[in-house]
Amino acid sequence: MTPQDAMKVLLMLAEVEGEDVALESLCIAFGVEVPQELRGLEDLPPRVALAHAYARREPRSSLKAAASEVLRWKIEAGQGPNHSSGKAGRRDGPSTL
Amino acid sequence: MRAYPRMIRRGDKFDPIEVARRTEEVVCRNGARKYTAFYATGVYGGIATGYAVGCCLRCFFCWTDLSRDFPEAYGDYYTAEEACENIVRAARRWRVCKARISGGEPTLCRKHLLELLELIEDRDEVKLFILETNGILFGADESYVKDVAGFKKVYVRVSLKAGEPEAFEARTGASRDFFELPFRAVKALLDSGARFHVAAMTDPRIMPSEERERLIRELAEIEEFLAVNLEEEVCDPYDGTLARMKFYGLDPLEFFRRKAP
Repeated sequence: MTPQDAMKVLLMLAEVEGEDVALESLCIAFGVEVPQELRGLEDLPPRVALAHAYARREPRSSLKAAASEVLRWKIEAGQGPNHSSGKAGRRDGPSTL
Repeated sequence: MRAYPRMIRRGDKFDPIEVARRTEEVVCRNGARKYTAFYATGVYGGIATGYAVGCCLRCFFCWTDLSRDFPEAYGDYYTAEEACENIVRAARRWRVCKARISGGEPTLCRKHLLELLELIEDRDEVKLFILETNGILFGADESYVKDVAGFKKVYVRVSLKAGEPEAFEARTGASRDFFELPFRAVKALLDSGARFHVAAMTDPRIMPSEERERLIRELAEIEEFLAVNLEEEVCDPYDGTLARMKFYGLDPLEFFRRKAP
């Protein structure tokens, strides 16, 4: 898999769960290997990890290319499942873990 | 002087910069800021949180408690040192290494925020500090973005409320003249090399699909990656949300009966 393809997969997986699990857990759940460019960011939530990677020079070009491919899909997919409703433990506010 | 805006009704309109200034008069005092609680919660996989008082928008779907609308009645003042200690204590207690300010708008009380971020930089317990903002004050003063982008642990989440000026005014109460400010904040964050992503309230019960598409395209004009990495929010029936919807003229029962995507 090229770095661009790997980033494309991750951008799409972040639509399934982008904030509330670690990137590593998401990758394990979907049987995907964490790309070399995202090593060291596995503990972060997927979107946060992707944004960190984008801020680095090296992975940026593959992320840019992947984003171009995914954009139309994102628009046409409508609002994805990546939201707070119905997720156990997702409710925000003064509670405890 | 105009009355301080609290919950909005349809057609209400105000200047969010003026509301920010007036809110700061209430929630900031000598470098201290009002908070109602320090805790940890499960979002972001577990995060220590300082719940700050006060905001410069009045979104009818907002999930926060009534401290947003009545900042004078809620919370206590905490210096940056006290806020940092409380956040770190929550992080230690719940064994999490991420932290944030949530509830109100964290960019109010600039001096307090910058002092807090400075202190967080030196605390090993916190590896990542997430700043959840509506982007109004960042868009109004790009030097503020540069100040924040300089911190190594800071990560910004900018939350957009609308994809067009009229909808921005209708949902937030802030005049449509200020619609571009959050987008300006996004551009400034990109230019300053900050680590951030954009979120938007694209719940189809609130935002029509055409507006959602316009918003994504506008983000893509800035940078395609930001559009693709967009976090799409859904409105949940928190107590504050229900009260605000009712005041706004919506029937919350009917609203939430409609199926979320």
